[in-house]
Amino acid sequence: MPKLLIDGRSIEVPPGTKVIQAAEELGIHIPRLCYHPALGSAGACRLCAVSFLDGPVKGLLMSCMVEARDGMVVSTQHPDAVGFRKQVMEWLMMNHPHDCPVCDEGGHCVLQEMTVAGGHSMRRYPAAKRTYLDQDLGPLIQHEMNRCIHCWRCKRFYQEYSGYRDLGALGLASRTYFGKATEGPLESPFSGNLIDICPTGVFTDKPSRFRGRRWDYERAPSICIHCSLGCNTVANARYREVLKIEARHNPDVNGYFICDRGRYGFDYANHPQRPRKPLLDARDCSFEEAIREAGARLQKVIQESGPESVALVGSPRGSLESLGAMRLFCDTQALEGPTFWMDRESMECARILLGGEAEDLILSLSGLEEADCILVVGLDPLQEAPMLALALRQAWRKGAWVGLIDPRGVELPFPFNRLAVHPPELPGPLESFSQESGYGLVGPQLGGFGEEWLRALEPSNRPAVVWGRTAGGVASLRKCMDLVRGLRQKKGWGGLFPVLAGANSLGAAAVAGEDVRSWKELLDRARKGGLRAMILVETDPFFAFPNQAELRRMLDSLELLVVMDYIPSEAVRVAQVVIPSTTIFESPGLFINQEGRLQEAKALHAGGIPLAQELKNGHPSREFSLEIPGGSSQPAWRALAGLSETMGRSMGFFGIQALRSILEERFPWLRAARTGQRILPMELQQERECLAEVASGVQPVQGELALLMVQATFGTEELSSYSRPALKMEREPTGFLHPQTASLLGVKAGDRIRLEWEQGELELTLMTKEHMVGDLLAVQAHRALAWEKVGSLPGSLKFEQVRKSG
Amino acid sequence: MRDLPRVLLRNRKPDRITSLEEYRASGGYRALETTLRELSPQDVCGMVVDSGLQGRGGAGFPAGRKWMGVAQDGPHPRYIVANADEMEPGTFKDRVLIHADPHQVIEGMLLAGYAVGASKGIIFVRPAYGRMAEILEREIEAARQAGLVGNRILSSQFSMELVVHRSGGRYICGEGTAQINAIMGTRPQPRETPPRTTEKGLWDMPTVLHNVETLACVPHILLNGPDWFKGLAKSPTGAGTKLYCVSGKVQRPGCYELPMGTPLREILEHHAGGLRPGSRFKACLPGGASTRFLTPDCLEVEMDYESLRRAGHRLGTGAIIVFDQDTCLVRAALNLIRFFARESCGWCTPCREGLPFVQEILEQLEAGRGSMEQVEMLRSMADSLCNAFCPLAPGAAQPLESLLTCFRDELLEHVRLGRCPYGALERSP
Repeated sequence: MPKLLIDGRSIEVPPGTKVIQAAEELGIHIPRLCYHPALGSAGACRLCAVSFLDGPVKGLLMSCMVEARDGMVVSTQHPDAVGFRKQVMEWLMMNHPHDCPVCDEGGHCVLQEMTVAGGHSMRRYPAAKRTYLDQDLGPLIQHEMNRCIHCWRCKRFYQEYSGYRDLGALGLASRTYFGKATEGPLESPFSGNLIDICPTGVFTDKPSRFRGRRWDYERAPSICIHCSLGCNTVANARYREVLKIEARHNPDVNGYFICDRGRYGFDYANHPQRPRKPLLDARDCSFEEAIREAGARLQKVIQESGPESVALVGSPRGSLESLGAMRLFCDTQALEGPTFWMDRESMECARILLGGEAEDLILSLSGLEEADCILVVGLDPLQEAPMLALALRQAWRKGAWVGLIDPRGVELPFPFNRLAVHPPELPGPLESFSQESGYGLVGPQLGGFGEEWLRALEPSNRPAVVWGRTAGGVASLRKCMDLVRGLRQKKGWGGLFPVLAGANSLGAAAVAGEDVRSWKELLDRARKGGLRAMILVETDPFFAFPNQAELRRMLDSLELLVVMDYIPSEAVRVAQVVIPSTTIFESPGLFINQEGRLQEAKALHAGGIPLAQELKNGHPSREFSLEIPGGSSQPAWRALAGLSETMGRSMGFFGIQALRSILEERFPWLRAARTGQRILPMELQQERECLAEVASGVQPVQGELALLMVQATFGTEELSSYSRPALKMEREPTGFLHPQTASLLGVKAGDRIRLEWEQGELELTLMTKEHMVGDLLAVQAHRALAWEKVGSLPGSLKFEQVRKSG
Repeated sequence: MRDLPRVLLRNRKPDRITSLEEYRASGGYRALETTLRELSPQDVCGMVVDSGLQGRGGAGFPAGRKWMGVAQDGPHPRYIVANADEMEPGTFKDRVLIHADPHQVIEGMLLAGYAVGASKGIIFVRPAYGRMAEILEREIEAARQAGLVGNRILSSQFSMELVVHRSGGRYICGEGTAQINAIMGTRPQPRETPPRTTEKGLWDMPTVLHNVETLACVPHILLNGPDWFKGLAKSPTGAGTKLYCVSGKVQRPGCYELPMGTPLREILEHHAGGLRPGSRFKACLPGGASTRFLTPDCLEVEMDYESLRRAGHRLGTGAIIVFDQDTCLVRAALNLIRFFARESCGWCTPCREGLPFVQEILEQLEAGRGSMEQVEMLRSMADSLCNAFCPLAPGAAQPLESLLTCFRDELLEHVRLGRCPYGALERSP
C-alpha cells in the first residue's frame, strides 16, 4: 500500500486512491469543484492543485488526477499551489454574477465557500460579464446558466452516471452551455440530483424557489418512504411547511443520490386538504373528544358482537412505532390482527425475507453495484424503485451483465438482455439449482437469453438476482433464493436483492401477528356480516383496491369506521371518526427497508398548517395562541394509546421513548437492532408453512389479452400522488400493448382506448412497447383512473372488449 | 549550396495532383509490395524506429516508439488515424503535401497499418479542406481499384480499409485524444492519458494517430532504409526532410521541403528570399502559433526538434511566421490569444476563462488603456496557463511568455505612451 506524506502527516492508502482522497482521510479538505466521489476525477476546474515536493512526480499537479504513490511528499499549502488556486478562483469568478443575495444556493454554495476561502474579493477583470439564455427545464428544476462555472458535474452525472442524453454540453470555449438542445422537461427520473450536485446555483430546486435560505430552514435527516429501498434524505421545512428534500449520503443504500419521486413526493405533508382537525360524524371536535367517542363506540361493538367483529388495518407506509403500537393495541384489547397487506402473498414474501429462510442472502444496493452478473426477475426498476435502476447502471458501467425477465418491455438507462414472458411463466425459467441443470435457468422459451446468461455467468464471480413482485409470490421468491444459494455454492458469492411494495414492509412483517388476515380476507368477512367496526391507521384501501363499489358497500355496512391518517384520502372522507396523524416530518419514525436495514427518520418540525396557507390578506394571523395553528395532529401510535386508555386498558406508554422500550420488550429482535444496520435474518417467533401459493397473472388463451397492473414513477405511488410537484410530472394513465397486438386490435399508440367487461370499464391512453409480450395489456395502477367504474378487475379480456374510445 | 533532397514533394507539379500511375512510376507502392512480400510487421516497426522519424504534428514523438506501444497481443480491430486537421496558424504543409502527392499518405497509412495490425484507416480532414477530402476519396478509390486498398491487398493476407472523415472542425480536434472523441461522434475534448491511444483509442481499441507528413515519410524509409533517411537531415539530431511553411514579411512565402535541421537563417534568407525590401527581421514564430517568439540572436539555430529545444524553443509544425520592425508584437500576440481563446474546448478553467482574461488585458494594453499592474498580471497568468488539462493553454502561453520576457520594453511603451507605438489599431484583425 502506498505511503505518502501530506502536509507533513503520513498516511497509507489502498493502491489507486487519488491524492485528494488520501488527504480527505487525514481530514485535509483540498478545495475542489469538479471532483465528486461518485463522479470521479475530471481535472476540469483545476482548483485541487497541490505541490508535489518530492517523490515519483514533482511540481504543481491536480490532486484529483494523481494516484497516491509511495514516497510522495505533498504540500497543500505551498505558495505555488495557493497562488495558482487563487488565480483559478479569480478566473472562475470573472463571469459569475454577484447575485448571491437572490440565489437559492447562497449559504450552501461550494463556489461561495471556495471564493471566500481563496481570498478573492477584488475584481480585476475589466470587461463585461458573460450572459446566457436560461431554459425551462420543467417543473422541478430552475436553470440559471449565468452562474455556471463549468465544472461539468451536471453533464457527467446526467449522461455518464444516470444514462440520459437530453441534457449535455453545447457550444465551445467560454460559451460552453449546459442545457438541452430544445428546452423542456428533463427526461431523467434522477434529474433532481443536478440540484445537489451543482456546486453553485445553476440548477436549483424550483418548487422551493425563493422560499428560504439554507439557514432559514429547519432541517433533519429523514428517510424516503416512496418505495421500499429506504433512501436517506435531508428534509427542509420553513414556516411549518416542508419545502425541499435533498439526498443524504449513505454509502450502503443510496450513495449520494435519490430519485425524483423521493425528492418531490414530500408535498403530501402540505396538502391544503390534509386532515388537520379531528372529526366526529363530520363535525370538528377536539382530539380528546374524538378519542373518547371512538373508544366508547368501539367498546359498544365489542360488547355487542365480540372482539372478532373489529378489525385494525394498517399499511407498510406506517412507521415501526405505529405498526408496533397497532400490534400492542390488538394484544391489549384482545383483537385479531392487525392487517397490513392487501393480499396474503405479499405478506408471506415479506415474512420469508425476514425470517431465517433468507439466511444472509440479501444484498444492499451498494452490494448490487459490485455484482458482475445480474438477473432481474419480475420488476420494472425505473417505475417501481428508481434508485435500483441507477444502481444497476453503475454495475453495468463496471462491466456487469444484466438480464431481465419480465412481461412489460422494461426500459433501463443502459443496454441489457431481456426475456419477455407472461407472468405465470415467470418463475418457470428459474428452476431450482442443481448440478445437472447448470446454472438454474431452464425452459424452452429461454432461447438466446439462456445462452447469454450462461456466457455471462461463466467468468462471473459476483452473481446476483433481483426479485420483484411481478415474478409471482412465494414460489418465485423461493426459486430465486434457491438460485442464489446454488450460485453461492458454485461461485463462492451470490446475493438476492428483493423489492417490495411499501417503505416498511419488513417492519410490518416483523410486528405482524401469526393469524394475520389480508384485506381480501377481511372483505370476505364483511360480506358475510362478520365485521362491524374498523380502524384504519395510515392506509387508504380506496387507493389500492380496484373494486371500489364493493369496498364502499363494505365500509358502509360497518357500524364504525375510525381513520387515522395524514392524507386527505377517500377513507378519511367516509369515516365517522377522523383522527389526524403526523407525517414522518413531524414525529420520528423507524423504518425497515427491503434489505432489512433499520433506519430512523427524525422529526423535522413541530407540525401545524403551513403559514402560507394561513395568511389573511398576505399577513400571518394576529391572534395569539399557545397552540400551533392546525397542530392537533398526533402520531398514530399516540392516538392508539389514547384509544386503548379510554377503553379501559392502558398500553403503558405516552412518549416515544416509552413506546420504543415496550416494543423492545415485546419484540426481542429490536433490542439488538441498531439504527442504520441490517437486522436480517431474524428469528421469527414461529416458523410455519406458507398458507397460499398462487401464481400471479393469467396465461391468456387464444383471442384474449391478459391484464397486468403496473407501476409508474409518478402517479401510482400513494403518498407522492398527493404531492403537487410530483403531480406535475405525472403522465396520463396509460396502457401498454405490443405493437402487433395493437394492430390486431385496430388501435395504435396515442389512441384513447376503452376496456369494457361485465362489472366495469376503464379508459386509458395507449402506448406500444416493442419488447413486451404479445396478448398482454399492462395497465398503470394510476391514481387518476376512474376506479369507481371498475368493479372486480378481470384477469383477462377478450379482444373485442378493448376498443378505441369515442 | 549542395543539391537539396526532394522526397515528399518530389512529384509536386505546379498545375495538378500526382496520379496513381505517376506515383507508381516514381517508385510509389514499391515499398508496400516489398513489405507485404518480404517483411514482417516487426521488421517494419524496427526500420521506422531506426530511422529516427519523429511525429511531424508538433510534439516530435518518435513514430516507431508509438507503434511499439501497440501491444502485440492487444485487441482487434485496430485503427490508423491520419491527422489532417491542420489548424495551427501559419501551417499549410499537409494541404500542400496531399495536393501534390496524396498516395504517399495512403501508402504510409497502409504500411503503418501492416506494422501494427490495423484493419481500418481514417483520414481526419478539417472542413476548410473540403477539396482535400474529395481528392483523398477519389485517390483511395483509385488505389482500391488497383488492389492497393481493401481486402487482401496485392494478393497478400493483409487487408485494410481507408475512409475519409470530414471533421466538424475546431483547433482542439488536432489534439490526439480529442480527435479520437471527434471521430467517435462525441465532444472533441482531450481525455486523460494514460491510457495512450495506442492502448485504448477509437472505441477503446489500439489506435495509432499520426500527422499526414509523418505517414508520408514511411514509404520512403522502407524503400531506402533507415540510414538513408537519417542521412537526409542536415543536423546530427534530426532525421529526414521537413516541410517548412514560411509566411510573414519574407520575399517568397511558401512551403519548402528541406533537410531536417536546416538553419533558420538559411531557410529565411536563401529559400524564402530574405525579408521584403525595407523590412528588418524583428522576430518570428519558429513552429506555429503555440511557440515562443524567436529573436534575431537565435537565427543560427538548426531547425530540428532537439536543437530548438536546446535553444529554449519548439519546432512545432515547422511553420515560420516572420515579423519585421513595423509589426507590433503586442498586437500579434493578441491576435494569437484571440485564436486560442476562441478554440478552447471549454473543459478546463485556465483555457476557458484564463485565455479570455488574457485577451481582454492585451486588448486594453494594445488600445493604450493598460497599466503596469496589468503587465504583471499577464506575467502570473502566463505561468498559471501552463497548469491546464491539455497542451492548448500552455501552447497559448508560449508567445505570451516570450512577449513578456523578450519584448517587455515594447509592452511598457504601450503603457507609457497610452497608445500603440505602431499606430492605432485600424480594424479588428
